[in-house]
Amino acid sequence: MTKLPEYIHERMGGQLQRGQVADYVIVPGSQNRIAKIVSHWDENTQLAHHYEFLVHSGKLNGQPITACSTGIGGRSTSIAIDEMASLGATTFIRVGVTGGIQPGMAVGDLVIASGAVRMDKTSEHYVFPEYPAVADVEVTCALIASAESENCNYHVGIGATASSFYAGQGITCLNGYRTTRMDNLAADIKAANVYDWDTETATIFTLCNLYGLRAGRINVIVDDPNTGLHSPTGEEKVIKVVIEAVKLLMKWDKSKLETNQDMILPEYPSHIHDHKTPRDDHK
Amino acid sequence: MDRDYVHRNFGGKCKPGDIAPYVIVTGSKARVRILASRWDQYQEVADDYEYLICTGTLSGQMISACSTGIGGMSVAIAVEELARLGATTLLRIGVTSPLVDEFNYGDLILARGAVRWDGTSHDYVMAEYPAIAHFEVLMASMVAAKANNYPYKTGIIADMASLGPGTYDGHRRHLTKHTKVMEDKLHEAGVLNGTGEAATMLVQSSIYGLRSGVININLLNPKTKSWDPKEEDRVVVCGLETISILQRWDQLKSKAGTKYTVPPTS
Repeated sequence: MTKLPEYIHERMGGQLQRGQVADYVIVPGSQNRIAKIVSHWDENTQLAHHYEFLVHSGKLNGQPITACSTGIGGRSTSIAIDEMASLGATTFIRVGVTGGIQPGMAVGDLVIASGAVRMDKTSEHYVFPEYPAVADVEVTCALIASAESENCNYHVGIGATASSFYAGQGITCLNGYRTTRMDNLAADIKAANVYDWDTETATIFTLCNLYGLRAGRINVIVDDPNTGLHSPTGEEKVIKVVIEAVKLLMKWDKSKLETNQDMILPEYPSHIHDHKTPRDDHK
Repeated sequence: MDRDYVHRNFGGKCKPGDIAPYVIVTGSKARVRILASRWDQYQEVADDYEYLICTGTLSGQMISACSTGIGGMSVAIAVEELARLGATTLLRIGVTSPLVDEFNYGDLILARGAVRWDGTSHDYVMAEYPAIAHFEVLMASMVAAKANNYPYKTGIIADMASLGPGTYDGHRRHLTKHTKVMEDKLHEAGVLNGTGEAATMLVQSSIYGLRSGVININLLNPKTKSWDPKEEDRVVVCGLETISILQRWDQLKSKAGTKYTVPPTS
């Protein structure tokens, strides 16, 4: 019999136990996206459904994999990361939907986050705000390589994570409610070369950096803030990119183990020094 | 050259073409001279306040080195001016003492990102904006360190507006409770070491769409408990190799028509 949880959300309400969560965990916001993710796996089992957390584990290319929805926002996302990590997860990939901020970003494009602006506030409960929410380099490279091989339009840059969907992202609220902070926020975020908004990434990156885990994020643009166009058509594509990225990470991780390396790096290029290396001058 | 502010174009001494797209920035002027002495040839293009700038070629490729002096304010001016004059890739090299115990003397610290306790970057953008290294620069520095058999660690470093908590090993006369709290916060967050310029440069680079990264070297010898510059050359060699690697990767990228260098996929 499963052990009772020590607090309400422990092991997703006591529904999970150690051994059921894989190293690799895909974390979408929406529960509905879980079915689309697991459809790419060899096999899958639903293990928990607790509040907005729907958890499936299964096999991808014969290796264990898990998907866990986080719900919307930092608080629920932090619970998902804490519980999954305490059950053994080491690599998180968030897949979500977003609106592009910078010129040249179109609906259907993918946005890979190199870091995140920590306006989630949740991460401030974990560490002071000046600590950087940075993506893991291996996960980021796997997402880039996968977006390339799937022939997708993609961008790599800093995303902003808000603590509310409307007021926090500068979107006019009910009855036209709008503050000067909301006007300034949208302008300041755009000026600072931020690529997109979401409501979970900074929480995930900050927690994973503190815990020594790997995290990456890829969103698909479904909203054009300039035209008001909404089109959810890119969802299947971004999920395919995530699945291929996980396969690549599995491959790199296996190769790391076999060759006893910390990371599979790009190759040292040949013929970079015509005459001498900088070390030759070092006596 | 005409200038609208005192520091524009480094006191009016630089003009477009004087600065290479690839620039190594470092605190001290002496280190700029050491860097330049390893190149095929070089010219001194400016010497104004704490800024000494040399431009030349390394293995036939154009390269610049620029000293920034110490602290966010001076590095911010350098980044503004270098980028206006055509710099697109900035690599900071510097010396440091670690905040955590797991370092050996001479280990390199390759930054993934930096804590923004610099102050200066807050003039540019809100505190929650991340100071992150560009992943290509980070990977190039890892490849460079490996190629030279230099031990290294990657992680989060701290940029501090003063020499800062954890820098002095117990003999600091004015180690206040406040400094101790700051040091404890960095420890809890697993921050590797302190520096004075990294976050400012990283934040500016993200805003302006530049690539940048940071290589530090631990020069505190735990055996002798003293600051020992003997192995300082590792950070110079690793910095130069990183630039050469990035230059070659960029050539290969433009030949293949790809946007980024990533590890081999097959």
